[in-house]
Amino acid sequence: MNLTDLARVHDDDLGGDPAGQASGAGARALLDSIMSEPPGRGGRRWTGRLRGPVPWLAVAASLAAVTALVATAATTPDGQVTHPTSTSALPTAEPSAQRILLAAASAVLKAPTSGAYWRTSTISGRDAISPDRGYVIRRRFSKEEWLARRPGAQSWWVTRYLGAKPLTDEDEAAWRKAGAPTRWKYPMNMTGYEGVNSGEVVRAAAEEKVGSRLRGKWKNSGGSLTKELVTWDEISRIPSGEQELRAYLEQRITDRANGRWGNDPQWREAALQGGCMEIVFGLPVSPAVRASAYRILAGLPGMKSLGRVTDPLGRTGEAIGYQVDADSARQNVYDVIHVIDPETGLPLASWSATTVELVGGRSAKVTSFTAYQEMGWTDAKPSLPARRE
Amino acid sequence: MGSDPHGRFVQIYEHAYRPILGYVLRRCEDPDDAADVVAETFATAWRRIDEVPPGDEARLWLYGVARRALANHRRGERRHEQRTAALREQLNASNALTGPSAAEYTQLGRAFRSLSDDDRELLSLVAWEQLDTKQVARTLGITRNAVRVRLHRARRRFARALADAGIDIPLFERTAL
Repeated sequence: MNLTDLARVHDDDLGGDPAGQASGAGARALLDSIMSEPPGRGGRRWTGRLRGPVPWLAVAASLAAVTALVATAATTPDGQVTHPTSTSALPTAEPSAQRILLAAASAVLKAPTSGAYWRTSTISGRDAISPDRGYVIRRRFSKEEWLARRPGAQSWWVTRYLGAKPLTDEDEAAWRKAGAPTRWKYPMNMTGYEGVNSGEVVRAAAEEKVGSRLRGKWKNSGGSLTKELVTWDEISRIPSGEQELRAYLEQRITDRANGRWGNDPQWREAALQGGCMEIVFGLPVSPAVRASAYRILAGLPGMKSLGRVTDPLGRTGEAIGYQVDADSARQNVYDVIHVIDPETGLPLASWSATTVELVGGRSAKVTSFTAYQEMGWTDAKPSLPARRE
Repeated sequence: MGSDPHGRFVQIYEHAYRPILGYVLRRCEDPDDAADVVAETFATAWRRIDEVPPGDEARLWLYGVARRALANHRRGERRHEQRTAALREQLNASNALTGPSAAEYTQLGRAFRSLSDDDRELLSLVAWEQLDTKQVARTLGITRNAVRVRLHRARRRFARALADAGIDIPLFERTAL
């Protein structure tokens, strides 16, 4: 007896079995069912190199598009995470949020674990109502983050403003009617607007790439945890056991609250969720740490499975999400959605969306998104543009 | 790549259906679950048809997809969808699958099951799917050299597990690997 004999069935045995025929009834029915759907468009390359986690709660971003999302994505001390009243309406065939996260947790255990840089490339978008409230424009940004692992080596952001334009056909018609402006100046009082800062001037034209040296606390840092930049050494000390990780995060959360609001259970829960999101989608931790963070997330109330959705770049994945209530800082309920590729455990995109009223009674959906194109360890070097900041 | 995804997918399916079914059945106790995993594996290939590599590489690529589908499935619920109804019926009536596998009741099986998932998978790809190191490397997305090193270690650990179980190692090594 040897190892080959331990196999329950050999491919040759299946050759003489009805179930083993590609032309058999079972195989044909499956083939027909699969091909009754449109084929996928691909989009993600199948390379181990690109596997890895993603920062979306990343780091104090200078890009407003990124911070906007961060602010709604559950780490805000003041944001309240609402719990959906019922998820029982979902059919049992729908994967639960817990199942997706656990599947992702097991998938990331295979991710590569070293390289010269921790690299993340994203495209993000931020919708805004035009100053005359007639239509929606979408601004887009690209960003590469290169965090150098070697002590003293330089970390970089390479960012680019990709320009702004009306979002939908309807928006474009309204924009033309308004004289097709290529520059939008916003008032100081921003009540009722979304997605821009007061007094901001938004331009239609794209700009050149800009390279930014990361300085200060960014030196020797691999990202942020509980909203503070942390060193590679600190990252390596994050415990991997689920219980230990939870205790570690709770302690950091208590320290950060500094006695002020640290006893508010809602704030603590939001902060715990935020910390897990930073780990899962941001920090270059070991796969075991990432998997534990996934498991903590999966156990939090409020996460709801939204099934298969298409992200802003047209890729499909399994979505989970929750709602953020209106509060003093924002007038509208927000949906926060995270899309994960269930095969690889990689997040595809994250966005928050809300509905706004335009003039003339039209309502429109505005979205802030970050879509992840490339992420993980690499030995490549950043290609730095001439323009620096 | 591939102007006609339908034709290409049918080709891939016909070439890889049996090896993938075998791969999954060897790693999944329950035939109903196995049918779900096979379905998920090929559905993934259809969704990513542009990424499936040409030729026999497609089979190796699909082993990788099946491996992840299996890992995810063990933790998930059963789906037992309509699309696998006919396949499940065939599997449940299959002669090839009757009786417990030798891995269940033999000393050798127990020693094998005591290994880590990674070690088992590596040894299985060689012994069951009969892949060479280059093919294993493609399947797992690691270098050939890494395969050689890991395979060497897995064999050593297996030999140790066999020794612990009182099985004659030299004889085993001559016949098994």
